[in-house]
Amino acid sequence: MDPMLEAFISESRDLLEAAGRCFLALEQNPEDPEQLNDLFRSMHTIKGSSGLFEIPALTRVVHAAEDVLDVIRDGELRLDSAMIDLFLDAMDQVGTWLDDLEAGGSLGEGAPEISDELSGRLRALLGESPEPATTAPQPQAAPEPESGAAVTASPAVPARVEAPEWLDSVPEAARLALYCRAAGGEARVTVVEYLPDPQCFFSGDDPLLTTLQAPERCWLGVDAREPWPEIAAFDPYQCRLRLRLLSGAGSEVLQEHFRYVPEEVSITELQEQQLVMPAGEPGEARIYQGFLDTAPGLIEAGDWAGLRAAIEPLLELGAPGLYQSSALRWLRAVAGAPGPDAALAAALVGAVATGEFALPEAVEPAVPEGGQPPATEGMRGEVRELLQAQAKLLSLHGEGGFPQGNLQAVARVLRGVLSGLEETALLAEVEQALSLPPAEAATALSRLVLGLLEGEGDTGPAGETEEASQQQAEAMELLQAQKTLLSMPARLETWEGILASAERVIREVLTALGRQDQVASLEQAVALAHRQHGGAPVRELLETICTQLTPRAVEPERPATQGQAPAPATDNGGTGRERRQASTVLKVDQARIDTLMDLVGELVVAKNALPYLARQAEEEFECAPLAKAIKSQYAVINRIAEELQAAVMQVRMVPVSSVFQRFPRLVRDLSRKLDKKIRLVMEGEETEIDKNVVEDLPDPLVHLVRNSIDHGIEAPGEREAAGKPVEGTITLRATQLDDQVLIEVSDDGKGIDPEVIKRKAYEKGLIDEERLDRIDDREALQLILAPGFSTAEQVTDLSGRGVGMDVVNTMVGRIGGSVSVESRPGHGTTIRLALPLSMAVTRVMMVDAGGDSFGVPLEAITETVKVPAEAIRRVKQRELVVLRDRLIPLLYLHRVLELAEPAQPREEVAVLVVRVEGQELGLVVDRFHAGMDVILKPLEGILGGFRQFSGTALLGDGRVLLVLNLMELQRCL
Amino acid sequence: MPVSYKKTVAVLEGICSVEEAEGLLEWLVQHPRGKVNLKHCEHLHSAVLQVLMALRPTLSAPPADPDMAAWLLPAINTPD
Repeated sequence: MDPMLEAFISESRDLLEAAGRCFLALEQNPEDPEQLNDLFRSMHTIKGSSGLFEIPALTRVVHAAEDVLDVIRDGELRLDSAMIDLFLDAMDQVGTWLDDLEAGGSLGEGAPEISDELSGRLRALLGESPEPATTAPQPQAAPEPESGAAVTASPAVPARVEAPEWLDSVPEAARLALYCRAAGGEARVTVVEYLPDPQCFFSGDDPLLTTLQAPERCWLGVDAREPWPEIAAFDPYQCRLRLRLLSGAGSEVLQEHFRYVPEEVSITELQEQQLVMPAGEPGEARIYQGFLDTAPGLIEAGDWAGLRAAIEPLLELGAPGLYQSSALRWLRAVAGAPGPDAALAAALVGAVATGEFALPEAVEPAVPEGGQPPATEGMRGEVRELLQAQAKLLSLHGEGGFPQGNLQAVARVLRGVLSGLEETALLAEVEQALSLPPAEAATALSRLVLGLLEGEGDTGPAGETEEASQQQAEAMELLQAQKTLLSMPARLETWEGILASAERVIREVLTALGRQDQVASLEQAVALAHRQHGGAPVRELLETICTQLTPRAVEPERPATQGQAPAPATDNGGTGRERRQASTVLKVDQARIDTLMDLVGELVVAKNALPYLARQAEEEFECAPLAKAIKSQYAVINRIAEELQAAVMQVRMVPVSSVFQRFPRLVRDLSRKLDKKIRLVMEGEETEIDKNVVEDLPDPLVHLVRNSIDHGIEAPGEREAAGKPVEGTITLRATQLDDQVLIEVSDDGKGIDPEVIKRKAYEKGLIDEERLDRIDDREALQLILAPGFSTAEQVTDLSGRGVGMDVVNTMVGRIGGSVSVESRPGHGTTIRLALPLSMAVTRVMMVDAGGDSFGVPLEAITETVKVPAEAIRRVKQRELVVLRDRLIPLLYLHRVLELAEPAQPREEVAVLVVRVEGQELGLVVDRFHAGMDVILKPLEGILGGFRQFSGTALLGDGRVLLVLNLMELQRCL
Repeated sequence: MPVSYKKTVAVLEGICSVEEAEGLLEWLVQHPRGKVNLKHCEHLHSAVLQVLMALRPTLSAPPADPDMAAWLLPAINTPD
């Protein structure tokens, strides 16, 4: 896979996980600014990086989420559980897409539809907020035809939008031809302006080719968006072209065509009447006088043929370059169309007379996008909010990353606001700003917005002092935004842009606040930041400015400002530290670590050969000094090997939090679904455990937690009746105990009744009558782990505790762990998983039996004792020994394995007491040896059938050690 | 070879890819009065077009393809 995509996927997964945690934390405390900021940053990063790949569906969803979060962060919207549900759904979908991407390199089936649905739902949350305007007609929001609903709803008469001013540079012939086709219903009218990314050649784009291949191209205009530089400074690989296209295709078709560059094109569908623009030199009016007298009558009568006949001679008479001729050509075209437009024709006749043409009002009233009633006092606040949102939007993006689409969106809102305020002069400024390159346009627009905000404030209802502090608060917010921007990790190539745009905004703010004196220090800081390639100097300056602002910005109704003031210091330092830390963190493919681990394993085996060599030197070659030297060398190598092993194991260690983190979500979702109130407590998340173990852990744990929620915790009513708190508690606890990690899942639910278990186990034939009498409650509970215990109909009888418990048991067993159950009826259940810290190296004890050596896993051994032969008692067929008032059944290893009996009866037997599945068992062996580390290899091939062994290990002297499978031996009892 | 450089004329033929831009630029800088023949040119990469637009050499022959001539000539002749 593309390494960049790979990095994106793994990074985005981390961010999604972080986001999930944030949402859950926010559910408890919906206004936690830190969490909201983190969340916003996560979304922003995913959105940003996703733009590198062809996954517009994913980008759109994340973008929508980001926009909504932005509004929430501003306190204009309050997060509630339903919204969190929606966000989590969206995050899940993004997660699924990431999986799809990883598996197949593309998003799954139906991604565009899902994306539309999700982003639509997200954006719907914005309700009255300005952002929805950015969704529907915006090119990048609707690359798929079906999503261009706003346009396709009325394809024949799209709402009239302003035609771009460059439309008149399209030759008349091209416009005329398209008009005739469009009026006849054979074509639509769409204009496209394409400002390719200056770096686009490096990604293999040929914008010219893309535009040339646009469907139904009628006209293409290519020019430079800024004057060409001196030849010496001219870089042919920096794209400076501006491509303009007139097409007979609909906007949705063109959006599809330009789908890879949605942010660089603006696609506008026009009405065909907008193509009508007579132009030329004004000519002598006299020759047209006769026509002007008759034409209105012909139009009124609907005699279009007559009108056309009257036009022809005039066209022959007048020079083609005359304005009148041009108007007449248009009139001829209008008259020639099926169902001619009388109003348009009349306007054209007027144009012939006066030399001026004004497009008559559209037949279909345009969507009242900007058509707000003139501003009233009550509206001021709303307008303000709109403008503030725009200012924020503009200030949030770096220069390099400012998408054309956003600019368009801002411009659209501004247009609406301005026409509402009847500020026509400023409207022109907006248009002018838009014609600049994106970065400059952003600056120009934000200057405009800031100017407006100031002016608006003057006449606003707010008192003067309040207004001033309001302004300060806004300035603070802007500055904070810059600070966040600067502390975000940025790639080198975008860094300069970010810095430059931050500088611009800060300068604006300073000027607006009348603090020009600080501009000089800003410039210094920026210069320093340039040199250091870090935002620290500018951030420090911001800090100073903010602290200067804060004491004056005492506003009881806006506590957010005050609350934020101290926060950035920590927040800022935090991210700074993270950044430094991040550079020291390495992400390594697990396979490499595994190789390293294998090598360590081989080293351990090779090292273990040294003591044999030493003995050989001493016994066979009778060279004691050499043996001694080997032994001391062995001690050194042993120490290094052990350290190496520990170091490699440390690399493989992962905190269990990586497993735990999915549970808050699981508990939340399930408890909402089941209408139970459940609190999840997690402890010891920092406990570390081997990666392999962690990988196998989620399934059993999910099973256990789900069981606890589903069957353990009672319904709220039931709990209340039992005198328990209505809210149930599930505790997930991880603790390290020697070389084991204990993970407990406990609940304070109804618990399990051991009597029921005993009876069921007996009925199922899992235990015989004798055992039924003997078994204690503790042991009985373990029976639910036995295979064959649980079947579907017992779920209800046993409060479902048996469901799949044997599966859990098997899975945990496979990773070398064990499961135990504790429960008190009415008080709750605890299920404890004991897991090995590491799977790679197993510690075994070597024992001799019947002349052979065997390994016994050390974690199963409880003690080793020597018992006098007479202490062994016989109960019926079974030999037992009493150890500390416990009855321990004995098993002669050599008999079970069918090995040779010892030559003479022993006076004293060596008993290895092991605990298997909660029961103790005494293994009678010939001799104990020391414990040792081995790399346990599973039995394969023909050996696989020998269930009494769990694996083999290679010894230092080359012998193969068989490691016993105690569970299987216990069955031999 | 889509671009062949004669003494005073650079002949662009067929499809001129992005790689030609640098060579053409160099040639035009060295031959300030050099002309460009586009007669058999079928497509220019945007980068090549930029070179023509920025240096505005005299065309010894316009593209034969009328569609190409329609958008290319105004682009090259537009005063900036």
